[in-house]
Amino acid sequence: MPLIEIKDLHAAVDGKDIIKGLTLTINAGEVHALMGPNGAGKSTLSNVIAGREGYEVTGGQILFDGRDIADMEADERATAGIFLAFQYPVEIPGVATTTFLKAAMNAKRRAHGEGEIDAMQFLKLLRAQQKELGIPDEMIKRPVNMGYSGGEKKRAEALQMAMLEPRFCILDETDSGLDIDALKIVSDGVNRLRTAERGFLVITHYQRLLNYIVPDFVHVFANGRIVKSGGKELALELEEKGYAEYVEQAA
Amino acid sequence: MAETATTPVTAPTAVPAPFAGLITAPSEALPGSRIDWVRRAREEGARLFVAQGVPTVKVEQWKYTPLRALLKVPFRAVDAAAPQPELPALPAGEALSVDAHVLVFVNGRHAPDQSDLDTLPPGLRVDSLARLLETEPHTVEPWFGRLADAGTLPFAALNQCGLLDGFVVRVREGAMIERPIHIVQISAPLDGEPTAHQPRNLVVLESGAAATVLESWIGSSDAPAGPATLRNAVTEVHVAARANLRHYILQNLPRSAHSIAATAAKVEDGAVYDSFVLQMGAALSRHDLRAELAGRHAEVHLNGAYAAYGDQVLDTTSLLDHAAPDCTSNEVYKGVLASGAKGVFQGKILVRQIAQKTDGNQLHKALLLDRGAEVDCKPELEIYADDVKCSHGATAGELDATALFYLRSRGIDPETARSLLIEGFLDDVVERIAAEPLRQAFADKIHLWQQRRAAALAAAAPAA
Repeated sequence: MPLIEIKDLHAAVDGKDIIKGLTLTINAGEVHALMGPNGAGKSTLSNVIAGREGYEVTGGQILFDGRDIADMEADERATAGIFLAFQYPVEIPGVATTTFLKAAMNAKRRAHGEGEIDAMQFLKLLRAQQKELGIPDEMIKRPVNMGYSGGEKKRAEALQMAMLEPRFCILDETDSGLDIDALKIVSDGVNRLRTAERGFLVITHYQRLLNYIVPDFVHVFANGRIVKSGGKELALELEEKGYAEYVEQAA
Repeated sequence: MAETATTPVTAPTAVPAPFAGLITAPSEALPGSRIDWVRRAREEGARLFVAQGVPTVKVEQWKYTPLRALLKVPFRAVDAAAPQPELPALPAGEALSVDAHVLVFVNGRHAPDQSDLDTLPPGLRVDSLARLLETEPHTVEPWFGRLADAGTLPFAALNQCGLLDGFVVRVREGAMIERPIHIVQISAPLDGEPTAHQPRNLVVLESGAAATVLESWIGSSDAPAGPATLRNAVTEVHVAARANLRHYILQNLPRSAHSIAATAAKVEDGAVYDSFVLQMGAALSRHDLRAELAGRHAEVHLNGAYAAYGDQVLDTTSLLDHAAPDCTSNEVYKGVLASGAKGVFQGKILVRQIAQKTDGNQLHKALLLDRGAEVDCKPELEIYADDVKCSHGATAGELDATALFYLRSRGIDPETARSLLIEGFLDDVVERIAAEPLRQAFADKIHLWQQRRAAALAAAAPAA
């Protein structure tokens, strides 16, 4: 069974059709890149899969592990194993990062019938992941994402991903706002999580990120649907030729 | 001058019940009844209360906080003859939970059995006002009725008239009292009937002294329903030169309780008054908070939070009176209001002509959790000096939908996500409490409020 199966998806925001018949299947162990021009609806797709309010599915289906997720709330999708790494991670004043991480981990554990995580076990896990991603304690002591630089925010997203161990990860423009060093750290973090059980959808405008997170498949997304699919070489071709050809084709 | 001490004070019909019943008739049984100034204070209180009457919403200061509902309750006044109610034990978890010298007052009267007076350090005295009026009234007179202006605070006048008991905290010159003094004040209905009491409190820090005074206003039971209580309290706070007082109040009365309280402080040269108030209980609670910066380089922090749901009305009305040059005041209040609750914040900064180089800042932020909630905010700056730095700001908003989605996208259920954001919203004002170990004590109470709000929400939801 595919990990995620998107069938002829149509979605609208504020009554405006953004996704117009998108079909995509991702199996466990695969990394798919979704590339497209600005305004193609890339971020809409990530929000629709994550279950954000205001993103209305007007047709088609999303199956996760064979189950239609239409009736699942955002938090239910998350505890089931869907993770969205935000393009712009949200700063939340007054909410301690550790409190937040613990709440998220415990929510998942509860959903899977497990008890709350032991404080020592949590700290041990956190320390280990901090080390991998070069996240100093000083960052963890701050409220969620507060005052983080662009690179720190993306590292923090990678940290959450590593702690929560989702089965399907969407990386929404993870490379935006990153310098090359930060890009490497975040990509290494993602690559460490590439396993046979896990699938990724990497959404990006630029090919650059795909030098570090090498995809198995590349899809060109324009005007609300996938207009071409291929291997990793398609990304290079796009880098060279741009999206103009596809935008016209889809229009 | 000869006093006509026996002139009975009769309330004219203009004072509605039950307040007329709270105007105490002179009696030999009252503490200090043989002392002229005490007797005069009671009479003056009655006169000033009758002159002002019970304020209606037509009175500017009471515009947002109607007292109509109170007028219908047949409160019985706690008088000198009233018995102390039997309290098997303090309701657990209602008062602040901190290591402190604990003193318990029930309906404004000292309950020595439940207080630990033996271990007070040198330099600190905690007494019952009633006892001091009998044994050493001269130690009270210089401080009594100097700050809570009975001419502009009608309920302070009523309180003065009903003068019976309360707590008196005194810290001697230069004494540094490390361990907080925690005054737990319990409103308890007598014989299962609506009961009114009027505690009168006094805090005096002599020059160079330092102390932390905590107050917990709670009920005798945490049962949500019970006979109504009315607590009309006045606390006068004198902070002498270079003294440092940390004064933190928890208003966690049961929802059957009504609270009208005035806290008035005078802060002298180079002294610091750090105030924090968390209001989360009572059906109706009005807190008049006044601080006079009376000496150069005085510093006052009035910070606080309120959290209400259901048909609660929580009112904070503050006055920062800059009456000396080179003083600093900071005021930050934050409120969270849910499902029909109403919050009122009226904050005035008065800078008198003499108060040059004043630095005064005020901020009020309200978070409305749903459409039924209401906040009324009235900031006021009144400035007569020309070389000052003053600011005020006010906002009211909803929970941030983006933050809510972010939390939920990490698996956190909507109720927990809302709770996290609410605590996050209040967090920075709690962080302003100067005494760090006490921040957690207040954060714990905010957490308690969240649990109550969630439980009320669950109870109100139609059964699935």
